[in-house]
Amino acid sequence: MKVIEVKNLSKSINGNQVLKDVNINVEEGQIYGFLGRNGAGKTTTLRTILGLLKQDAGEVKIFGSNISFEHFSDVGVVFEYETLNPDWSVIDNLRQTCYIYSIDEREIFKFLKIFELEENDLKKRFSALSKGMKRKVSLISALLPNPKLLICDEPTSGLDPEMQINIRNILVNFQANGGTVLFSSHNLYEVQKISNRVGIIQKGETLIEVDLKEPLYYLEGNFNELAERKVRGKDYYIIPESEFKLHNVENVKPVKDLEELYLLVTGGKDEVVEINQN
Amino acid sequence: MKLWKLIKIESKNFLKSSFFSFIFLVALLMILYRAIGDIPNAMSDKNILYFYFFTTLISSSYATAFLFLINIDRDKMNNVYHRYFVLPVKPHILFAIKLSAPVFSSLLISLIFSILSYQKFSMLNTHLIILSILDTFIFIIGIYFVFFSLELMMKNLTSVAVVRFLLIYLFSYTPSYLLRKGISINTLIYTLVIFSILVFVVGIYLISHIDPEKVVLS
Repeated sequence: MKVIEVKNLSKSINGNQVLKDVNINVEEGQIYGFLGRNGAGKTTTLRTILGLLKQDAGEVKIFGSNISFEHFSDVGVVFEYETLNPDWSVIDNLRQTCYIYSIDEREIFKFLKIFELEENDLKKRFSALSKGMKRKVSLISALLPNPKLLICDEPTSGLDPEMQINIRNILVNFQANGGTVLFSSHNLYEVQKISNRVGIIQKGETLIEVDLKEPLYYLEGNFNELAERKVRGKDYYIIPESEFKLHNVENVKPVKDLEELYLLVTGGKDEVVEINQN
Repeated sequence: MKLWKLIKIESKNFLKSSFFSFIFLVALLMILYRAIGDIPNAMSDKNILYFYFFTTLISSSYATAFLFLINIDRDKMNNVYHRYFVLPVKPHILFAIKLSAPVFSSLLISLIFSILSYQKFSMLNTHLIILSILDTFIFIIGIYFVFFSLELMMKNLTSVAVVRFLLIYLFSYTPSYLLRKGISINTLIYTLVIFSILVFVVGIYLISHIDPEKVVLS
C-alpha cells in the first residue's frame, strides 16, 4: 500500500520555480530517504506534502487521499527547526500533545527510557535543552500519538555523531514496530545506512527513486547505454552494482570513503563532495 | 481533544510569562482610574458622560491587548505556529485556545476597571454600562483575532507593531477630536458599537482563513 504518493509536483515561490515534476512513492513499512543538497527543494517538498504549501501542479496523496487536518491523527511530523513552545517546560509541551490527541499523559513516561531522558529533564524549560535533547523531545511529541507515518525534515542536522546515531536508531525502531518513515537529509551515508528506498532531488527535480536492495553507485563516463536510466539528461546516474555488466559500465570507482555507497559523477567530483558535506 | 486541559495549560504558561505585564497593566489602569478623577461629576450631559465611559473602556482594553500580544510575536519568531497546521484539530480552534488566556485576562482586567469606574459613573443607567462592557468584550476578542491573524501571515512584524502602537493614540484622541468637530454624540456612540462589531466579524473571518503558506513563508 502506498502511504505517500507524489506525482509531478511543481511549486513556485515568489516567482522562482522551486520544484518541478517531483515524484515520491513511499510504501507502507519503508524508510524513505529523501536526499539532496541544501537548497535542492527537500523542505519545500515535505511542506507541500504536509499541506503547508499549495502546489502549483501535480498531485499529493497521503494514505490514498488529499491531505487534510484529519490525516494528522496518523502522521507525526518533526520539522527541521524546533516548533515546541520554548518557554514551556518539556512536560507541559508533551502534555499539550497528549491533550490535543486525547492521550493519557502517563504515556509520556514510557518514552523516557527509550529516548534516554530522565524525569528531571521533563521539568526543564524547552529552550534550555541542548539541540540534541530538543530534537529528542520533538520526536517524542511526534511519536506520542502512535502515528503510522513519521515525516522528518533533516532530523539529524546539526547534531553530534552520537546523537545522530540515536536519532537514526529511533527511526529504525519506529519502522520495526510497523511504522513508515519519510525523512530528508543531505547526508548520503545516513540515507544509505537506514533507508529502504531513496529519492534524490537536485535543483527541484527528482533525479531518481530507487529501492535500496544493494549499494548504489553514481557513475561517470559515457552512458549512452544507460539511456533508459538517464534522468532527464542530467549529470547524475544511479544504478545498482548488479546492473554494471548489463549496461557495460566501466571505470567505476569510489569517491571518498563512503563505505558501501560510492559516487561517481559526470559533472565532476566536486558536486559529490558538496552533497556529503555535513 | 481535551479542551479544558488545553486551556488550563495555556493559561498556566501565559500567566507565568506575563506576570510583569500584569503588574504593569494594573499600575497603568490605576493611574488611568485616578486620572478620571472628578471629570464625571463635572459633566452635565449624560450622553457625553456615557461616551466618555465607553471610549475609556475601549482604550484601556486595547492597551491590555497591546501588551499581551507581545507574547504572540515571540512565539511566531520561534516558529511555534508551524506545528499547529500539522495537528489533527482545525488550526483556528487551536489558535482560539492559544488566545483564550490573553483574551480572558484582558476581559477580566476590563471588567475590574468597569466595576471600579462604576462608582464614578453611577449617574449612568446600569443597562448602558452593561451594554458598553459587552461591546468592549466583543471588541477585545475581535482585536486579538485581527492582530494575531495579521502577525501570523505578515512578513514584516515591525509594521504590524507600529500600527498596533499608533492605534493606542487613535483610540485615545479620536473620540475627543470628533466631539470637538461637532458630530452628534449619538452618532459617535452608534459608530463605536458598529466599529466593535465590525472588528469582531473581521477577526473571526481572518482567524478562520489563516493561510498556512503565508505563515510558513513569513
